[in-house]
Amino acid sequence: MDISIVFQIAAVGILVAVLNQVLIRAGREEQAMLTTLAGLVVVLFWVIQYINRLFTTVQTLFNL
Amino acid sequence: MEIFKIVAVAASGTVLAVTLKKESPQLAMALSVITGVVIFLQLFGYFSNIISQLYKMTALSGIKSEYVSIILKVTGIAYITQIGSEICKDAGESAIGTKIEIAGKVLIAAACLPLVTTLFGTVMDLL
Repeated sequence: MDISIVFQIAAVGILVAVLNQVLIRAGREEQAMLTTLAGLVVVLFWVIQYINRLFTTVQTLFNL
Repeated sequence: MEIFKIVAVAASGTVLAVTLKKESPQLAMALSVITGVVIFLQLFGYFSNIISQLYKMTALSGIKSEYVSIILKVTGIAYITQIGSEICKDAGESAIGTKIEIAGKVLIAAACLPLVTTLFGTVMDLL
């Protein structure tokens, strides 16, 4: 039951949100946008890994 | 019991997704997708037992095994179509969701074609 991934993604999300606010207050909107994109890319990488695992499992199980 | 763990994961995933919804909807959507995937990965232990039992029963009862493999294929297609269309609808893209459902129906119909032709053959023989 590897639910740590759920909490990792939540942590990345909250971190990016906080960083975003800090950078916007400091007047660097571009960096804020970049950190948001970086966070999104990292999370998407994890999501793709898990979806790939799910699809291969279903494929082997139902021999699609 | 297994169901408690699953509901616990689902509840925590939902709470985290809602908190993230305001700051970044994309991450909230990714979180809901991951929660769904983690829950489904739990179920595959039980699924493989069910399927092996199904194969044993068909072997005993003399039903041709390709019928069972067609049933399993259709279940798998329906399973993945459901996951995909729910994810899209959850993110607000219900148009894409319905497209996935249509594609799933077409693929299921295609998978069932040999079954229908054999049925048709047997019926014609009866007449």
